Amino acid sequence: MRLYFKVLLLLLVSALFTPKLCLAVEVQLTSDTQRLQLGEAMGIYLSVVGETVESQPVIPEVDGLTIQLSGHRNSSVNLNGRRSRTVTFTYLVRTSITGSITIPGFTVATSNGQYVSNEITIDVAEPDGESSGLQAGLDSEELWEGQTVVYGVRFETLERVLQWGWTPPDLIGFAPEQIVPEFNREFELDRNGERVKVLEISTPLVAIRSGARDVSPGVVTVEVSAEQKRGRRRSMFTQTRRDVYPSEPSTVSVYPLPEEGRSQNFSGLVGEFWIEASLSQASVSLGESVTLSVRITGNGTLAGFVLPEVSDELFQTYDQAGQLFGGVQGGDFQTTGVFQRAIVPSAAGELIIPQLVIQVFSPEAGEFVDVSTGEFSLMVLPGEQVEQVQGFGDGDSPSGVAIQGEDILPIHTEAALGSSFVLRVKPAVVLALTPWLFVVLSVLSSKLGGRTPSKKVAVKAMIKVAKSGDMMAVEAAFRAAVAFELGCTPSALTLEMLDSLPVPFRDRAVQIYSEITGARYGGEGAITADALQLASDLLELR
Amino acid sequence: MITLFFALLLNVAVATPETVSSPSIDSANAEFLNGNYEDAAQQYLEVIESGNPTGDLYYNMGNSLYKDGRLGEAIASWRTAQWLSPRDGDIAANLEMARLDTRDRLSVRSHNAALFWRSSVSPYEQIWLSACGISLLGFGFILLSRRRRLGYELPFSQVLPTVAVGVPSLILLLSGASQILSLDSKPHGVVIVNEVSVNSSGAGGVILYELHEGAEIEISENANGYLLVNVAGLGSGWVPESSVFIIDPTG
Repeated sequence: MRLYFKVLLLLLVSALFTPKLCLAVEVQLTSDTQRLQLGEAMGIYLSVVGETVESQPVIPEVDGLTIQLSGHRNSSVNLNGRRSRTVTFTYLVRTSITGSITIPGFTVATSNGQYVSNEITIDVAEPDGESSGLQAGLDSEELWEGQTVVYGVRFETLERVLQWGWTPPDLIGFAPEQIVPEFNREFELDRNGERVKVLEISTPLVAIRSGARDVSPGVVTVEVSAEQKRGRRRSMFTQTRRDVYPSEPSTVSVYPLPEEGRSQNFSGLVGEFWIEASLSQASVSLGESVTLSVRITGNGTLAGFVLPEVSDELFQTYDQAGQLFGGVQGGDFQTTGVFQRAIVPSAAGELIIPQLVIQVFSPEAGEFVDVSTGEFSLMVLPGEQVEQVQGFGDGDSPSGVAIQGEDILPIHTEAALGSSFVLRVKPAVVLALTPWLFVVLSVLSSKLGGRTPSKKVAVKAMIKVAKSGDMMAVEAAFRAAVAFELGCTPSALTLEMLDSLPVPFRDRAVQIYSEITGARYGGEGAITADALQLASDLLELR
Repeated sequence: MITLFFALLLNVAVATPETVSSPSIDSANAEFLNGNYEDAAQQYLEVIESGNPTGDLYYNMGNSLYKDGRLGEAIASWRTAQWLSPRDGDIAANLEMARLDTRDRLSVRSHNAALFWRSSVSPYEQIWLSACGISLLGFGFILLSRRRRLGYELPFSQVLPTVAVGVPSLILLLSGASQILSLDSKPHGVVIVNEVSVNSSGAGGVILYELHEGAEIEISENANGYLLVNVAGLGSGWVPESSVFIIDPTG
């Protein structure tokens, strides 16, 4: 089977199975926050999507934490034409020790078996004694150019908040990270029996200019409901008050990346990264492809990153656009990129796919380091594609691969110089205007010949006067009308010239001309009406 | 008058040279097929500069430049080819492939849906189609005026074909002309250097963002060796003129 049809078949099968994949079971554990103070309680949420839960999930036991079920709710959504049910269990988590505590995955029993959720790690600190206030700033004061940092905001208050507002500081020298957008969340904590309202905002930023940078204060504005004085009649409108909380200004130093150790193949990535790779299959027939999947994870931005090229005569590579994910977990930026590279061997036998080496800059080490995949061994079997691979280039074969050995299509060998004519606008203008020029010239010509609208008006006036019956006036009007039509002067009009009149008028005109000439000797009354009628008809032609 | 008209038409017809093949093109093709991509690109360029280039020639030059590792110039060449031959699927395919190789992966503005014909008719073709339509209208006007002079009435139904030809002709005229004029007023360009900083002012200023080879940009202004460029989603800024290849299919 040709490679082309195999690819089509693969796409078709993928398309058929896509809806099913969307309906896969998902068990996810999330929390309001990942930073707590000793004695605080927060909510965590276990969501089960696409399955019927048969019994309440087992709550794991964790030292220093008390986890209590506080309720659950059901919801359903229409996904790809099918209804998908979601059950969300809500738990209240209270801390009794400080430090980093991991809540292990919850086990959920469903009609199709047991599933385990992800785990969550939370940091528990000593209480700072403040029940409200604003903390904002970058998570590091010393950075490298290109490093990704998080500007975090956490505001707490015991007031009844009606509306929040956040005015970020001027962060000159920083650019928003392109994959992970600003993230904000509002929630409530139970702190020693008091309900604390919390606003958290996380903005991933990339340092783009070196030097010392002043970070100006950001401002949180809250609109809270004001207490009403006792004894007064209660207003039907809520009384509000606006409070403003500025953050502390700070300074951050951004260092330029060193030149030492920087190779020409530096990937541009700044952060701590690790890489995993896998090959879709260990053997392949000649002419078919295998997919090398590369997963890069780290705490720096992956925006704009592409896999380094590998040049080898034994195989061709075709890269797909990478899929990039990311987020802020516990105040730290994390990102993952999944890149897929199709590899098409060009010879049978064992093929060693060399390791991919990516140079990144490690802020922790303060130097350039290499992260790399391992080598892969691929057994290429002689396949049915051999002849087709060698015979690419004509017919409906995917000639782009064969003729050039790359992913662009071949040159047009029939290319030739074009016509200067069609690449110019002037000939087109000539073509468009020529008939209209003819029209304009015709109009001008008729104007020069005396057939002007004013002349027509004059002839009409003559016809009007001739209606009195004066034979001289009738003759003058007749001559003027015929001359107007023929484009000559009335005095130059002769009997022979009447042959030039349009057919329907010619004979009548000749007859009337003769009668007018004869009427000089009497009998004018009979022809007056005919002559004037013909004159009027001739005028109507124009 | 009629003699003059036919003389003009004859003049136009005689001035139309047949499509010709050139030994230089064959030589450039041979260089390409032998793997001498730099020489092939140079020879295609010489043929193009000799006048009357076609989309095919720009396409072949783009292929040579791409194979020679000059991604930005290849994209510029294919963009020019696409301007001249918008219906050529090979150009679109190679351009799409090349864009995947760019580091910035900028989204390229496609044609406005209301101007759907632009994806299949080149600006020159639009002008010519429009000229044919306007010319046809002129002939129709002359014939109708003759008929009126002979005393025949103008049937109302003849107004409809007049509108049906006239309105599309006018639209094509405006569309084609605006595309050609925009090459001067708001040309497009492609970054041809490995990396260039887009600054807030011409010679200096802060770096707003970086662009890399193959990034396709719109140029708003040219002053003192710097171009004011605009990139969708990133904003405007100045780059050195030498870092950008300006697309000009008419030049």
